[in-house]
Amino acid sequence: MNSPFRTPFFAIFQNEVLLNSKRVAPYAIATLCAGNGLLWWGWGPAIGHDWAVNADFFIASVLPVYSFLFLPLYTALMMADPAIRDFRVGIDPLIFSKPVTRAEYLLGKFFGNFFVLACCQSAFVVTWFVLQAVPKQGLITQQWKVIPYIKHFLVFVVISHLGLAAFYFAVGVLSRNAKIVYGLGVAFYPLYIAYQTVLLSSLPWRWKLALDPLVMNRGGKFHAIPAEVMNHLVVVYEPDLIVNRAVMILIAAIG
Amino acid sequence: MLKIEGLTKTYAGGILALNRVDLEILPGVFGVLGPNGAGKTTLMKILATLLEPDSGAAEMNGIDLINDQHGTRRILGYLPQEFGFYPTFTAEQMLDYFAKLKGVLDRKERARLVGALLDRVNLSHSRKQRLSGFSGGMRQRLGIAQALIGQPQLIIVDEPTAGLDPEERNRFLNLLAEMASENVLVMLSTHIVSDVSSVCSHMAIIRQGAILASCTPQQAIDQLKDSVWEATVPREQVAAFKSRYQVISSQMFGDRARLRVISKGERPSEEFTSATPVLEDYYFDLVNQRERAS
Repeated sequence: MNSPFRTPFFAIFQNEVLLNSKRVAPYAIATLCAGNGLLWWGWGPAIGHDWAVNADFFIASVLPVYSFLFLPLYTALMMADPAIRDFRVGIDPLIFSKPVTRAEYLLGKFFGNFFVLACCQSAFVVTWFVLQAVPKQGLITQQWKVIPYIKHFLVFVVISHLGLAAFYFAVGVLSRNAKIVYGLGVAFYPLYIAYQTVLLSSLPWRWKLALDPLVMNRGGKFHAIPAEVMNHLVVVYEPDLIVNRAVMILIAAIG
Repeated sequence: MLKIEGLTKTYAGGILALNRVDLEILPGVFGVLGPNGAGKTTLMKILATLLEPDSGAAEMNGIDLINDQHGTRRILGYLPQEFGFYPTFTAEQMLDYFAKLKGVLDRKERARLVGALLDRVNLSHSRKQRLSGFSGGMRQRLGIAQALIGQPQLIIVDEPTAGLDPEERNRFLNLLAEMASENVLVMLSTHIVSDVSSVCSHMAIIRQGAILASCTPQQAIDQLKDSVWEATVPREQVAAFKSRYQVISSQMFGDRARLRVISKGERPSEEFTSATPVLEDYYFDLVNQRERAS
């Protein structure tokens, strides 16, 4: 079995995608994310500031906030019970009597569900992408763009939630109790806000960026720049941000 | 041949589930018969690599069933006592997934295999039906279909007929009999004696984690030749017979009772006539003897 697509890991990954395609939750999450995108587009901060809704900086500034708003809850919802579900329906002895290792099983489960979660979350940027074609009074739209949506979504949303998803998934597997994970999803907000206000607020900007799992402090850098300059700004990822993202991936791998 | 030596398992709390189980099992359908809580499921789970024994060994065709989990699972087909499927999947999707896990990775080969398995268990007409709508018998048949993926040499089925109606039960037992061949060993665990007499070429009786007997059903029956008696007696005599003989069954009809007793070498009384022994007689005799002894 040379190809990764011909392994038990990939079979489990594929199966999780198929299983989720028959559940209501992913569609509900995708709809909420798309609705969120619609609100940020038509009724967000771009209006009144003369910011272009498809400007590189605007996409890069909004996505960390979007990542904070509801996504930790959605991540908890999606990652809490992939393994618990198998034990609940009683399919586990049928799976574990096949030549599948626990590592293949858990990795397949994790990445299958995380892929579905990322697809749901991407409804936000897909909505924005499509709305580039829709004119709205008071809203500036530049030429069609594709890459910033993909690039910033991966950096500011997917990587942030990879670590969180790994943590929730591990708790779900170890506790076999989805309610604990849902509780952690809710607890994320007070914990994160406390972390921001107590620890990060007093640190220099570089450290704020490096130690923030959702990189929400990054946007503050742009506030003083005039709109016409901002709209043509090409966002470059700072070394601190790259280190931050690398650490998040490492945390996810450990999880 | 499957060879089991000194298999022992104690659960937390000191419950001895298996006590030095030794068995040598040839291909065919092998029945493991015993009351609830006898240790049958523990034995099946250990052989299916889902539970580790405290000590002992099990080997089949050169594969160490205890230590070589991956190798064992390649030759294994397992249908547990309690299992489920994803209710939103169709029968075809479910088998396709299990086939992938079993290492059948070519899409066309898998489609052919799934179709053949569904045909074999008579579920072709329900291939696109959601599993949430399957009856108990259909679920069991799909369960056996997944156990047949990958041409297993060892097929373990744990209490498969419990809860099935007579027609489904008969169909299921026929399937089990078809699966066994000179290279395939089907291990059937059950507490239903007639399941063993219907399909098993060899059997073992297990109680309180220990093997009480291991033989063919015919050998077991032969041991009770001229030892089983039947009579209809006045109801008030039942207690006296029960105190003196091993009573297999007693059916009351008004003030009379129909008794079936075991009495080796001695006719219990004049009204008793010799009856043809069946496997149930042997099973109850053996289990009750041990109960009295303990």
